[in-house]
Amino acid sequence: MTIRCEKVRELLGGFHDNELQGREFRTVSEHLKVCAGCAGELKRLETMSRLLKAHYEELAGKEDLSQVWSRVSAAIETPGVSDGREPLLERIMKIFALPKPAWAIAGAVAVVVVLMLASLPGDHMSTLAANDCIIDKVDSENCSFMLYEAGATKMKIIWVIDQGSGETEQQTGVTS
Amino acid sequence: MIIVPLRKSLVTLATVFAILAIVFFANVASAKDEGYGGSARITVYVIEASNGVPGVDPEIREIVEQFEGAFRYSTYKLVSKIPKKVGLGEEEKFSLPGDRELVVLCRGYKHNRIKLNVRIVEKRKDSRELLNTDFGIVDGGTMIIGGYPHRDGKLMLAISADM
Repeated sequence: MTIRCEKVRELLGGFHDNELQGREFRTVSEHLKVCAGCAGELKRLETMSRLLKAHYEELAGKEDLSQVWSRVSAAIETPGVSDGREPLLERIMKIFALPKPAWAIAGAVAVVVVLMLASLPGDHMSTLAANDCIIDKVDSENCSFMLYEAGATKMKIIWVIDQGSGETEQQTGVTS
Repeated sequence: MIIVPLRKSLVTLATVFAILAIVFFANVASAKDEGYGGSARITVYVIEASNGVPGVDPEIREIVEQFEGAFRYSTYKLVSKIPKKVGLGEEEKFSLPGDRELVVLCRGYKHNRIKLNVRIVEKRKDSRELLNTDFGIVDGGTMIIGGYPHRDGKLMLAISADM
């Protein structure tokens, strides 16, 4: 028996149950055309399946089915499963038993969301000072003005100097 | 054997979620910036700064502490406090001492800042415009416009904006 035969035999069960798809299905079906051993194994599998099916059908014929529903009802009414739902712990365990690719996809989505948040336009509030202010324009026809930024909170100050009054920076008390 | 359809449904679910996330955050970003349809609460503190008896009115102490050191005035007195709600694209007038008027226009909200146009108009002498400024201030922030003579000192206007 070759390594290929070993692999094919691992998949024979699935092939027999029509559960294989794509490449796996092609690999097995092509191998069966050229390998008498594996084809024979499939035949044995089919024979066994047929015999088992016949056996169970025979057993089912003998079984008193009128008792089945009363047993099912009794099981449903058992405390803890009376609402037809699985216990919480089992449901949580099932979530964590998901295949790894699912977690990889969820992780990728989370990274995309974080990157999108980081790339939102403009500065984020957390990086702005309490009084952060951007002055785009200051116009005054008759007065001069000075711009200041004071303190840790970056408070912006527009200080107007009236030309008519002849005051100077010294007189206003501005220390800049 | 059940893994294959489960993976397929998870991939579909993840794709749908990613698309929804993109649409949601795109909408949030545009709503915050361009589509802001609310109003801003503007509070104008009219302050008289002078070199009289040293002291700061308790109501403006927090504001004065933030610019203290930039000026050499010893007295900061609150003349008036005027809170007003200014709608997007609307103008509100704040009366100032000395026949002056502060006119605030709310221009919107962009890049986490409330965008305002502020004008100081002298009501005498054919409504001479003393100052015209555009600025964007962070929500809850305060900026100062000052220097106009008032009694024995100068007038300072602390303009606070929040949404």
